[in-house]
Amino acid sequence: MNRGMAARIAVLLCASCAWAPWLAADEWVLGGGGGLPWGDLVQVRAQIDDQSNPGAIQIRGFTPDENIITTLAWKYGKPNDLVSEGDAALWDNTAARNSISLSIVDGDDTTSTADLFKTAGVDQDGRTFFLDIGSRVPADSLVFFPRQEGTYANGKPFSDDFVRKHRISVSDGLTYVNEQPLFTLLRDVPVNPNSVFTMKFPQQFIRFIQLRVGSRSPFEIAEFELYGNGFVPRATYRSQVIDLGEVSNYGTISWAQRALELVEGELIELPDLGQTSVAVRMKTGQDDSPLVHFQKVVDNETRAVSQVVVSEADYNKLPSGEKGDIEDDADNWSPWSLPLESGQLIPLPSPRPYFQLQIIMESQSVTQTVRIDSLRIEHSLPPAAAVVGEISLADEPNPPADIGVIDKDDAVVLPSIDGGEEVLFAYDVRAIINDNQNGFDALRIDTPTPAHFVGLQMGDPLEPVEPDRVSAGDRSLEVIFTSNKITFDNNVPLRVLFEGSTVVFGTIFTGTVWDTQSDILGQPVLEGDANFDVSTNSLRVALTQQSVGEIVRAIEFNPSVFTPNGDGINDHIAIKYTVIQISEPKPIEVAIYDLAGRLVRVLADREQPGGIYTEMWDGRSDADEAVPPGSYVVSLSVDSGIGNFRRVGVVGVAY
Amino acid sequence: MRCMLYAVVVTAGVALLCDAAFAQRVGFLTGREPRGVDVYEMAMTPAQRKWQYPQSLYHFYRWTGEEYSNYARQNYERYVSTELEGFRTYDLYGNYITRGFEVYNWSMDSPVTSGSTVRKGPKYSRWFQSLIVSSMSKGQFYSSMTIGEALRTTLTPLTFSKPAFNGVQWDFAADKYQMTLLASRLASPGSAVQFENSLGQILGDMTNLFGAHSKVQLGDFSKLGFTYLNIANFSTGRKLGDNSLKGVLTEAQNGGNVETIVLRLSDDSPEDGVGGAQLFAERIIINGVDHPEIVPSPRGGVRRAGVIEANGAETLELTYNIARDFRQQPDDEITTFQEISEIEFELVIANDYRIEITSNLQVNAQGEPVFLEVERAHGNVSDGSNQRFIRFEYGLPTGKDIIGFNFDIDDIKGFNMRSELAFSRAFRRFPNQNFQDHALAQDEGMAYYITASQDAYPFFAYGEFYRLEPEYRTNAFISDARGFIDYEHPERYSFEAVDDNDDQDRFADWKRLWQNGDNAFGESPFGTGGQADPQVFPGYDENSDFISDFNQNDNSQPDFAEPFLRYNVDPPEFLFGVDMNNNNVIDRFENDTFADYPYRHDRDGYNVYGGVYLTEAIKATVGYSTADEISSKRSAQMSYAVVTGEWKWPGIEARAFQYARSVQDDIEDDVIQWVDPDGFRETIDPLIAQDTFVWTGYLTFDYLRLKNLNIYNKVKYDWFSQRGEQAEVKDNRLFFGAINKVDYPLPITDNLSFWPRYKSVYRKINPTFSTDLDITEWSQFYMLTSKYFLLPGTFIEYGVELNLFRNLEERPEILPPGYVDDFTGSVLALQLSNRSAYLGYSLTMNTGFRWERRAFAEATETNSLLFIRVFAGLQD
Repeated sequence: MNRGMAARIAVLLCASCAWAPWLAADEWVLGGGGGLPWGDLVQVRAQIDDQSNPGAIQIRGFTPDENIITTLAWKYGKPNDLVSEGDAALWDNTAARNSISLSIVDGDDTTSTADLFKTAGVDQDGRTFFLDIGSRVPADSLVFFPRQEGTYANGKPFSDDFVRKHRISVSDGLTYVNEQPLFTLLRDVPVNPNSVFTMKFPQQFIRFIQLRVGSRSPFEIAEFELYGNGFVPRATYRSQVIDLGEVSNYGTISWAQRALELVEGELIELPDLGQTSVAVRMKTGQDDSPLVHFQKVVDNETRAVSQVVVSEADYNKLPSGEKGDIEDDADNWSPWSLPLESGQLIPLPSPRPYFQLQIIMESQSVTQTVRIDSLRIEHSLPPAAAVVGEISLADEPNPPADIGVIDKDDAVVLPSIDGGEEVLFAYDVRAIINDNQNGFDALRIDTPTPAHFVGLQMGDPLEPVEPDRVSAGDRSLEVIFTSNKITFDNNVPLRVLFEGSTVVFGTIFTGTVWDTQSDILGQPVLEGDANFDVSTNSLRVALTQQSVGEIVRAIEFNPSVFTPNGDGINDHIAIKYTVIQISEPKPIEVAIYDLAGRLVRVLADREQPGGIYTEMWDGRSDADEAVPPGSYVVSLSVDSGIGNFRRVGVVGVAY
Repeated sequence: MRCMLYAVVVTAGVALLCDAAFAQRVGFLTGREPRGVDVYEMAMTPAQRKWQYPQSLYHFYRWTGEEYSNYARQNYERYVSTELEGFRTYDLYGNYITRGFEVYNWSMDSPVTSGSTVRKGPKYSRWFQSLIVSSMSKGQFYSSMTIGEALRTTLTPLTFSKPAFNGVQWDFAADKYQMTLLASRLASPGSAVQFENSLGQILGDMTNLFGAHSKVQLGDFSKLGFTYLNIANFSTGRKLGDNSLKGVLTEAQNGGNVETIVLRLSDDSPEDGVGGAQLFAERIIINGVDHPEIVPSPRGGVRRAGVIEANGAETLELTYNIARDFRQQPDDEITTFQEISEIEFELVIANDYRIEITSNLQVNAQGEPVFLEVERAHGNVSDGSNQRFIRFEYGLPTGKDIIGFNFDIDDIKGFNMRSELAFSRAFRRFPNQNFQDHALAQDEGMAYYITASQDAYPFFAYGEFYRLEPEYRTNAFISDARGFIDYEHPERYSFEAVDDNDDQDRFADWKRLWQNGDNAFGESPFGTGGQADPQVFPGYDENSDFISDFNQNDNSQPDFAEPFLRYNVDPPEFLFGVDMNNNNVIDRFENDTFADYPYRHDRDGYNVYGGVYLTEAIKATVGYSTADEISSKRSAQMSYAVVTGEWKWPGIEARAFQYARSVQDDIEDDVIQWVDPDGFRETIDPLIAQDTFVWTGYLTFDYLRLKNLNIYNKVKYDWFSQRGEQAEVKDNRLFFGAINKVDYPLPITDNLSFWPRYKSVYRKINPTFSTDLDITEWSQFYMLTSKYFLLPGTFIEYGVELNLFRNLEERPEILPPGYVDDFTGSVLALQLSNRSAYLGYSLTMNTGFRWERRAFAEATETNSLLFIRVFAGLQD
């Protein structure tokens, strides 16, 4: 088939999709001009500003004349946990006086601490007030003062009872000692002559404020005010559980984000992200609550307490003594994904009708914010109701019990191989397909090392089938079987045999099925019992205990003696080596030395993660000269986190 | 024939011993042995009248009870008799000991439910102030048993060193041999009872300590030592042989079945936020059989493909509900979870992990689970290369032992060496209320150090090599009277074989039970019964009065900031000393919160230096040191040179110290420093020498040659020059300070004298971090005091002080934190003092006033003080 023919077929296929809407992907949009309003779907909103720019969310900022204190919800008393961010709190080092002291943060300058700190004969030196803003805010000035209006019966104005000596310390809420914030002295004020104390200081992020009174004389505080100019460092948006209305597969997620900088009162768009960042996470679920609620039940005879699952609505109606734990619903909901990239395929279990979003926006600069205008999620009807798969060693379908994976929900037994060892894997897939679903004719298996297709089997019992197309990449294997498409009417088990390996314990050989004849999104293969004769029920492969610990597993030469004379026969030597366990790029060097220890050639000097690699040597030195015949030492060096691992071998050069 | 001879000898011996007088002479009999009651012929009178045998009242007071008592001629005597004081006491064999009191008794009777008794009689504290010594000697052999509540006890630096050991120490010494035995019932070493008829504290479950150290001199110059220390739970409910030096579970520990176990995985270096624990797989093995049906429910962590991670502050908890999920497996010999005798876990884990564990039986006093550490990664690996299978057993702590060897060499041609190698083993057992024997597991740690020096004037050299693994620990849990252990409450439930006592006083720096007792110290200045040392300022208390020398009058103002006192006292930042851990705190003033091993815990490193006396007054030293923090793989390397010189001439003294170092130090050495007058302040190591050249200098010059004229000068400077990448994030730090003082005591008459004084303090600080304040300031103090004797012993003092403070930095529009404005301070003080003798004491009365004023540009602060104070002392 030439290119023109292929293009015509593609156009025809797309045209057919256009009038077959159930075969196309759809988009769910949040924000922007036509999307759902951000505010309507919010479950948790911390320092999120969805008012300044309708249709978008951004990190909240404060203007110089905005009293930060009055924007917060305050409560009295020292929180048990000062590390976690939460509501604003106020307390002091004297006996609890609850709502009375909240008068200094209520925005009402006619209410004050009144007579609390005016007891005759009581030394007020040492009274200390603590304000926990709840999260870090930009601040550059603070003000506090007694009531400015009103007098005592003797005519003395309230405004005379101001704090005449004090010390102000602050904490940015990032450093703690024994879970107590570490304060830094902001200003020691030995003499304060002013009733309204105003202090400007260099702009900085502040979470905790400590005001220590140093004067002995009576005082009162009516208001404490804090001002800043700029954006808070962190804002969080978490959506409610979103119901797509139907079980769906998920495609890509994308959003438009812009970093903005406050310059002379104007927000200017930055060409890049500046000092801002956005982390979008997502989770998918099979029911409308990602939590499991438990009710405490007491056995009348034994008085033993057990917990039973109840719905969220029922839980909320329970008396407090019967309310049990609330846990994540690991059975029906996935955990939060890692931060996603815009345009990335959503790597979460599907098809599922429910999902939830979490967006954390951060800025390292008080003058910069980041704005998300809209967010889009691609979704479509699934080709199958469920697709499960399991991987095993072809010659060991029922491996002996061994160490298990951590998030298993059923007993699974992983196939184990030596790290880097090439083995024959069997990848079994079984689907449940409803009569209104397309089915699928393609399977992609993601592999950690290059894989080699060996065979395709389908049917019950499994019989060899010739695939329509097979393509193997460095990290994947695609098998197309359009001629034997799995549908509602032809729903047979499928097995792909391939040679491959793994270098990291517990590597998941993720799989995706899709229908090459439609535009609907691919569907992930979930771990499960796809073949009753195979007991792994898992898509993961473990490493044997004896192979863990050896970072460099093997170094092989092919051939061991070569003749780089340009005759086309054995002109190169292939140096194949396996590095296991290392999950992030680390310096790896492959070098050739002569027997006198002189460096002849550096074949590789780069950072790469664990894997199976091959370097070719053409018998020439770094100076591009043919090396003399003889024996040479090949040195492989891996600089890992636990030290440098080195393997050497000897190869021969002859002419 | 031979048999007959034996019979004769034995018969003769028995006959001799049966002779009471002879037996008394040879020490077997004292005549006061218990004999029971005899039969008397005079009591055989067949009368019906009540028989009254003359007993104690008759013997001591001739009182028969039937005769008329009339005290007209002979005055009545109260019931007092020294012969009646105390009780007859007997030993194990019934030998009479003395008439007196039981002062101390520690006994353990088993098997009985509550069989361990420690009784300290009232006389233990009243007569002996909680310290009793029983000693013996013959020739060059000496032995002494010391029982007390605050014994200075050191076996070796790595194994046992306490300023206030509460227990029994039994020492032996001969010419070449020395030995010490230690014992204490740590769970409750007991306090003196109030009454003689009071029982001591009786326990059934307890934690005991037994220790031994021996030292042998080998040849003339070397000594070899061996130490064994055991801290273990004992139960008198078991036979002695059923107890173990590895400890047994107390009744409280073994009060149920393990139903739930939670593993918590976290990032061992949470501050970096990445590369935390990576869990790939797990399994639970019960009684040696795999139990895949017990699936943990994970909570927390972040999931990547095939792995859960816990980075930064995140934790991952795996909850195993054993009671709910246990099902008998084909290989199982047990059918229910109540029969479980051993649970093991196997994890595949990588990166910088920390594993902790708890169960439903491992709880605090409120019944909340308490996590205890099981394993932590060495280093701070983030690339997965340390992936490994970890297998460990679950159990509750039951004991600990420490085994150590030390070898010293003293002065072989100037060569000296100290070395020690020690191992600690922590034991734990799996609890099950249905069993008496419990499976044992143990963790081990190792520590060693070697220091060696060679003196060969004018040259000298020194080297030290050390490693203290994070697993090496000398603390152990101790039970309370119920056998309960709250694992998260070390103040009550932990014993430290090596105490934290940075200021080397008689109080351990941390709070632990049964230490620092009031009784133990007699009249304690602080009353620190069981409390932490309230004031720890190593190096700041050279006169050992428990008060910082920088606040000798113990008020709310440090002396270097207090009028008049500040002439003599300079701020601590003008002190000089080496800072080998580069945390910007001079080593000899450091106060931390760790056991005082010779080196910091969790470190591996060495330090070598050599030097030469260039002249008698000048010494030059160069050296190199390196250290690794084992658990984090942070490291520190330093090359250094120290030159010291001291010169003295009549009336002139000069000192010069120069300390230069090239440093790459990533190790955080946080300390808790005493800051007058606020008290303890956590000082986080700012890591200002991660790639830095540091030059510190100190110069003093005192000129006292002219009569009455005293001139003192002091200069100190620090220069931290940042290099490489550090130069991009940190500024070069400069501290330069100069103090100049001059005073001239001027006697006018015998009764009147004046004392003019002048002091100048100049400070310039360019901070490491740009967010900190640049400081350049100059303080001048002009003081004039005069003293006039009104009467011998009565004098009046008048003083005036002028303080000019000038901030030499340009005043910014927005004042940065810590900025101090210019001010002029003035102080006036008047005091009348009278010293007189009163009831054998020297009584000093002070009365007067002090008036202070600080005038800033915008405001003025005024303070005044009126006082009458009287001091009584024994010193004139």
